[in-house]
Amino acid sequence: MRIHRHAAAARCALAAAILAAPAAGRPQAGDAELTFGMCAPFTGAAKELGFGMKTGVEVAFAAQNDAGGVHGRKLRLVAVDDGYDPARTTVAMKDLVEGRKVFGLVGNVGTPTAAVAVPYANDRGALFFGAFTGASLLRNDPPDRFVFNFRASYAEETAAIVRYLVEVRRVAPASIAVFAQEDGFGDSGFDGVARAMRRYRRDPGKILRVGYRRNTADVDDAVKAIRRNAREVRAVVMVATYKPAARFIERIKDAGLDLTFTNVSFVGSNELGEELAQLGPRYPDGVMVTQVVPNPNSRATAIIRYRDELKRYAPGEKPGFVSLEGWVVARLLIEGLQRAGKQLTTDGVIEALEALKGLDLGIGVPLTFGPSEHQASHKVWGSVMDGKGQLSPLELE
Amino acid sequence: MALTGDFKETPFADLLQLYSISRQTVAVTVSTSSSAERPDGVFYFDSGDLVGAFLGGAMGREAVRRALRLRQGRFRVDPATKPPDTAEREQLRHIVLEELVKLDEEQRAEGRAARAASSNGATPANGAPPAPARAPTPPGAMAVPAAIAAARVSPPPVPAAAAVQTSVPPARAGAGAAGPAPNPGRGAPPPPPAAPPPARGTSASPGYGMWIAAGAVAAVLLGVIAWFALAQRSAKEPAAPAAHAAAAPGVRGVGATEIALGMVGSFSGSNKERGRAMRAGWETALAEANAAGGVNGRTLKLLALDDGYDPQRTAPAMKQLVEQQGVFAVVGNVGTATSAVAIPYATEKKLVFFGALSGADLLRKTPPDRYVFNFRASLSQEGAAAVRWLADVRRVPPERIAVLVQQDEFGESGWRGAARELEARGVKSGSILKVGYARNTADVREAIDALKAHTAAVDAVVMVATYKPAATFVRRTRDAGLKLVYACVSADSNGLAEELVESGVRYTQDVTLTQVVPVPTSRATAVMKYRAALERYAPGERPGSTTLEAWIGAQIFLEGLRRAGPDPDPDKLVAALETIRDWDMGVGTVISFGPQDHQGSRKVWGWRLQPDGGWQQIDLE
Repeated sequence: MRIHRHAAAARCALAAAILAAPAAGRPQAGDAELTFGMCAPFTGAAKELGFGMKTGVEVAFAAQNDAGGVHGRKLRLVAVDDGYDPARTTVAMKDLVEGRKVFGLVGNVGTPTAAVAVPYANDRGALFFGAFTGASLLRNDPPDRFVFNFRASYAEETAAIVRYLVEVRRVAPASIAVFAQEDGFGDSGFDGVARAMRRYRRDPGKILRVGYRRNTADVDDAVKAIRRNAREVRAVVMVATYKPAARFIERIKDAGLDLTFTNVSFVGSNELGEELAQLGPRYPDGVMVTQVVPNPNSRATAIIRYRDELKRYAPGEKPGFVSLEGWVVARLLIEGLQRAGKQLTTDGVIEALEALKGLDLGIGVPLTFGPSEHQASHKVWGSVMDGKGQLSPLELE
Repeated sequence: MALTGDFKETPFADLLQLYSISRQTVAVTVSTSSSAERPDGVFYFDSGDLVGAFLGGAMGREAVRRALRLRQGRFRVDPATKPPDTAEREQLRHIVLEELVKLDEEQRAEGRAARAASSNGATPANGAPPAPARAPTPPGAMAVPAAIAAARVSPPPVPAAAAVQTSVPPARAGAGAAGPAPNPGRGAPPPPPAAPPPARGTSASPGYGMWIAAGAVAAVLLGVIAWFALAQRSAKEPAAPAAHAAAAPGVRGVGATEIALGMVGSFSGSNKERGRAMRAGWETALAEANAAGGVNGRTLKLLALDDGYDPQRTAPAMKQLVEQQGVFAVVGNVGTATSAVAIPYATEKKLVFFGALSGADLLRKTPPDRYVFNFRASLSQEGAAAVRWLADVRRVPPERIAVLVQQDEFGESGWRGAARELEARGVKSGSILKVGYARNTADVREAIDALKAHTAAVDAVVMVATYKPAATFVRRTRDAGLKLVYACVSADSNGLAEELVESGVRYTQDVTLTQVVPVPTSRATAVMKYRAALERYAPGERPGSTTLEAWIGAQIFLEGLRRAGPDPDPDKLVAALETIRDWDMGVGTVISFGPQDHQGSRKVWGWRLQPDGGWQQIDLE
């Protein structure tokens, strides 16, 4: 009993100390409504990802609002387009935080955009929750106070797939190349490959890394480099968005090379499947994608609920990995908000989130936060496409 | 002018005899040079009596026992050092005698052959009293007990002559050869030899052979034993039981409204920045806690004493904190060699010894010392992390990694971790290039010369060094045109950065640190709170590794103190600290203690120096 009291006292002191810092401009909860912001691409090459996240979050918010909201407040999402362009992210963030006075950010999309948004959120003391990126810059050690992630990191995804390729598919580590976007997103994925390679005593400096520039689908150089090394390369770990990814797979297959392709979750699996299926069944067939949520057609408790709510609040929208992630992110946030009590403050929500231990939403992995752990899940699922670009689960271990 | 020597030439038994004879008041500091079996320590003699014994984390009998068996390692004798006025004087007298006897028995068992072989013709090599020219009496079982008995039964302060004459003869008769000529007129031993113990080296039994007429190994020891029976007696006095009378009511250091904590740190000398920063970090944390009402209704104050990073000065400082200032616990001490002295004392006084700025193994025993608690990862964990980073991430071939160590237990602890990882990567243990420097100096010339001799074979250096020698080493090797990657273990980040940035931008490249705390610019909850506290309670203090380590340590200590309840005592505090499990303050790792584990964190971070003197966190794995 005493211990608890002391711990509580310590937490209060901590909250007080941090509150005493820059209190000006701090977002406050309204009486009837609680507004969150989202900066995401709703135009350009990554727009499907933005729409997917927005749908997932909005569906979960709508369902919660119909069930009475959070302590009587209705949840609202204001989404702003940044076109996956960091230069526009700054403006969008400022608009949300200072203009619309949102309580926090939820479900932002992208790594280069987060490179701008995270420092801004930190500076403003705004909650930055559940962004759709597995980049390391959102996963500092120790974690930034205001930044919370739901999903496994890119490094965890690529490390898992390298393990799978080497240990299950028996691909020699020296035969694995990397196709990665030339920025922090690609680098984060490459890090995981490098880390996994070290375990197999392979010098990461010797990994063949090819790439493309963000917001383009110019994969010529990458394809040429792979063709030059066609004799060694057996598999390509891809850290890319769906348009350049589809283009790359198409060109390699057209060149007659029989390679294994794996992608990280950010690629947008459903979009990649559709792009490849349009080209013909031999393009999507066997393409792998690592996922940070289970298959949206799963019959698990949470996934059934997700599909039900999707049908109800976003009729016509097909279940997909991205909207499922958005939905899980929103559910997790709602748990934190409910536990923070009626007097909502950012520090209160942070403490409530950090007290979440082993929360089981029914998605296949218990979710845990703590003051030193701001990433709720470390789980990576595998999935593989058939000739129609449809994804089915793939056992990675 | 300090006298220095090596145990190879002068065994500890000889030192005991020398200072007993000469009745000097000295401190003998023991330091390692290159191997793990050579621990740090200090021995204090007051008018010839051994009054304090500290070695490698042990004190008293254990320290004496180990010292008597040291075959290598350097020592330094400082005549003017004021010894700690310990209560163990009387105990130590018996301990020394008993341990000498034990050593004698061991050596007799080992050395029969040597004894048989040694000749009778050797003569003392210096001005030591001439030994009777008689065949050595086989050091019989009778003789030794007689000597001890003489010491034990002899009555307290008797004008010595009579007592000596009644009690000594049996001892001398047995020990015969080694005892100096009796000096009945004084009843005390004859004047000291003109020079420190004699040179050796030609003897068949290297420790002792030449220096006695009979040449018997055991005989020398018996001589020493007899000496002690003689020489110590006159100083014998009834034990003073009243040492703690002052602390009788309540618990030491716990007042009605205040708890006093002590710290012994390096506030002067070459490591003074660390001591200053450690103190600033703790004072900040305590001021912050006091402003919030203290702990269970009591405020906290810190009494800090300087030992100049010199173990000889640590014991007097510890004693002063406990016996004069009456502190409840000792927190945030600086240094490994100094801890070697402070810990046995703290243990004896039931003084919680918390969060010292040392990652050495001697603070991390298995099972852990009851009163010793550490926040930080160990030096060997840091040394290992530095090698893993250099070899696995920077891709430096393991055989091209050298290690710079401070020649003491601090250096050795880091070395052990580094060597283990290098060996795990196929480097033969004997072929690792290990270079060193002496504690409290920045004299790295020898180390650099050794490195230059291998310059073609070294690409990176793991440095287990304090910030000044580390900075000097980086500067000099760069000036010498060596292209190296540096991975320094837990040196003070601000001190190192300032030294190197002042020297020029080119000295800042490829300088990395392992640290047991995250970078102080982090946006993590605990680090933000730390910066806010520093700004408020230590304005002008630049955030850095040492103040952050101190501040985090203090948070854990305060949590333990809270859990210890309204009437804390040292044992309640130990029990309360041991209940801290998976305690997460947002520093990047959870803190756990338990009865079997007194080290809160095992986490090591990597920092890279920036040209502007700032530090950027890097991924070590």
